[in-house]
Amino acid sequence: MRAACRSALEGLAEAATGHVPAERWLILREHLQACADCERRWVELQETVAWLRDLPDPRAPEGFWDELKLKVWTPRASLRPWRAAAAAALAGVLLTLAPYATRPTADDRPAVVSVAVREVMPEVVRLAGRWRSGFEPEVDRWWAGGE
Amino acid sequence: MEEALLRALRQGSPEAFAALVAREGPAVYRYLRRMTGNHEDAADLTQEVFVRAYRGLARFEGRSGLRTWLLRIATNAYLDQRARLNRQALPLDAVASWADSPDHGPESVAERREWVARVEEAIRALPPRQRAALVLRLYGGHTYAEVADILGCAEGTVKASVFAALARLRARLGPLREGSR
Repeated sequence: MRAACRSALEGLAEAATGHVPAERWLILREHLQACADCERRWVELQETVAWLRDLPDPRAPEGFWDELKLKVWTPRASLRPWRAAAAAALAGVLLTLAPYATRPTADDRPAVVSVAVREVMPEVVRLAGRWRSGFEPEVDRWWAGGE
Repeated sequence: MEEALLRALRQGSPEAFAALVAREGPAVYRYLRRMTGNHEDAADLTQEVFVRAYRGLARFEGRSGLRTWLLRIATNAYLDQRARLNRQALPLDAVASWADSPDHGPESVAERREWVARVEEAIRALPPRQRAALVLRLYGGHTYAEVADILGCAEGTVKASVFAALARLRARLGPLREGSR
C-alpha cells in the first residue's frame, strides 16, 4: 500500500467513525476521486462501521446501579466494626482509670491519679490516632461527631 | 458544574458519589461491556473503577474531565484484569439475550443473534489497545485527541489503531456477510 493511500485510509477511518474537519475531507475526497482502490476500501470501511454501529447498545440490568452504589460504599461501611472496637477500648481505659478516680481518700492520692493519667493518656492518644489513620473521610467525620 | 461535583466528592458526600455514578456510570459500563463482551466482567470492572476513583480522588488534578479520567481508570482496570484472568466471554445464547431487536427487517431473530454474536466476537478478538481505541471512538464518540488522552498514547497511534482495527474486522466479518447473502 502506498504511503499516500495508507494516510488517506487512516483519515477515512476517522471520517467513518466520527468527524473530520471540512478542509481535510476535501483532501480525502480528492484522493478518492483519483484512487479506485481507496474508493473501494472507503465503501468497505463505511459498511464495516455500519455493522458495528448496528450492534445493540449494552445496558446494565435493572437495579445494577443501586447495587453498585451500595457495594462501593460497603468497604467504607465495613469500617464500622472499628467503631465498636474503639468504643470498647476506650471503655476499657476508662474502667482501668475508674478505681483511681473514685478513691481519692488520702491527700497524696490526687497526685498518684494525676501521674497515672499522665502515663496512660499518651497511649490513649496514640491508639486513637492509630484507629483514625487510614480511615476514609466519612470515618473522620464520624470521629468528629458527624455521621 | 463538574468542579462543584468534584468538590463535593472530595468532601466525601454520598450524594455526590451517587451523582457521579448516575452521570458517568453508563458510559463506563458500556465501554467495559464492549471491551469484555459480557455483563459479569463489565459489572465487576465498573465497580472497581468507582472504588479506584473514590480512592484516587485526592490525586485527581482535574487536568482532564471526569469521564476521561474514569475511562482511563477503566482501561487500566480492564488491562489489569486481563493480566489476571483469562475468562471466556459468554456463550452465544447469553449474548443473544440482549441482541434481539424488533426492527431488523427481513433478518430472522436467529440470524440477527448469530450476526451480533459474530460481530461481538470479532471485536473481542482485536488486540486490547486497538479494541479500546475503536470502542472509545465509535461507541464513546470521543475525538482522537481524547482517546489518546484516555489511553495515554499519541494521537497518531490512535489513528493507526482505529484503522487497523477496522481493517481486521472487515477481513473477518466481510466473508461472513458475503456468505450469508
